[in-house]
Amino acid sequence: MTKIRYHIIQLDVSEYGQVVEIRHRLPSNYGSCTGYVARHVKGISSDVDIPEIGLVAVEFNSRKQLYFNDLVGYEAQVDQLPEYQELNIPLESGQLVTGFYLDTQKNPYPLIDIKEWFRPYQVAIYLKCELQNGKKHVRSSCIHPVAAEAAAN
Amino acid sequence: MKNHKFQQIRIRINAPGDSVRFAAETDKLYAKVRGVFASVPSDQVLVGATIGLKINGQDVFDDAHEVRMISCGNQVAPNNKFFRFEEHIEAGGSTVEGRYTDPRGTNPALYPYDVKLYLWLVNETHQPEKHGEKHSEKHP
Amino acid sequence: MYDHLVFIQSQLKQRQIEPALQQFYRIELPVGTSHYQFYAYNELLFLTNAAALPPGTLIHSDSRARVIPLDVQSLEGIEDYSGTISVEFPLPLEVETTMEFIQIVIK
Repeated sequence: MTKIRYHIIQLDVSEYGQVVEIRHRLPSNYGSCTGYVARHVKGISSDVDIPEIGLVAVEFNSRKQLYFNDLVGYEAQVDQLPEYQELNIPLESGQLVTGFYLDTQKNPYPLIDIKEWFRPYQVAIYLKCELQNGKKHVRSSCIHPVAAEAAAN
Repeated sequence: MKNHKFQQIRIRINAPGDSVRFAAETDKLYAKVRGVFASVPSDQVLVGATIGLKINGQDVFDDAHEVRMISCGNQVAPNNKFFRFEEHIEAGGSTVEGRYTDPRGTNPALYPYDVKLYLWLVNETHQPEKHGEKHSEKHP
Repeated sequence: MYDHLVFIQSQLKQRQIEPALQQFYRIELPVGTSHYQFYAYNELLFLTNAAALPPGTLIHSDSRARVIPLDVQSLEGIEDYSGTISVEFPLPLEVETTMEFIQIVIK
């Protein structure tokens, strides 16, 4: 069975200057995070590369683990294969990945209203994770006693 | 024994936004899949395209995995084009299946088109490699 | 309403952060300020008076970013910032404004 999982956190940016909170729970059978890539997926259209469209920060293990800070750019043309930035973060089972994405685009047309040029877009954070040996992901479930009783009746 | 093969899987996309399931088999003369590369006719249908992939029943990519993550431009040297798997992915006639989703390109003239998925099949013993490094092959 | 200090101490315990020092920290910003940047490395600054800042103020740090909403009452809890902290006001300040924090210096 493959042990590497490419976990995707998708973020939708709908407003200029928006702060998008990241509050994501990784599957409980992930043992470590060994790499990441943060990138623009779709929405922005430009003929030239934009070195920075936003900033991203991520913390692991419910804010216990060191985070990474990175900037996200836009590539006008497909070039190299995106490479994963190396990480080596042991993951505690079922803990939160938290952080934020901040849109930092500048209006390229100062005389035009912001709302005219801004286009909603999507950013993805890929986390390369390794499964923990022998552990299976268990979905947490909480069956309300009333619901259980109703089902039994 | 042959050591390398680049197997092509074609996926037909007929209309913008199409989400297409595909299934193929790896060549049974090769032991494992070393890497994968995706090629589409235009960057306009690459941005936002996603692919889910399963090989030999093992999850490789989720359905939301961007095709861009396994693709690159024409300027890249052939040896560096493939997304390399760091662990053993079984070939030997295994099933390759998944779902390809078109990003709903704005240029209707591009449709229909074929996505070409290339699998790098090998018979050598797997050794994890870093990007750009070469390692010597074991010959049978 | 809850006790800020109880909340902070509880959270530090959960995050396994051992404080070397806990104290109050104030920044006074003069009239006309539109942007202010300062540093808080190896420490956490919990903002305790978000309501005193103009709606639309962006506070951006290495660990957290927040835009003060119009309805600041909906901003439940206090949040911590650390690293390089930038404060950007939607318009230059018309009155002198003070930002108040509980500072936690990490061991």
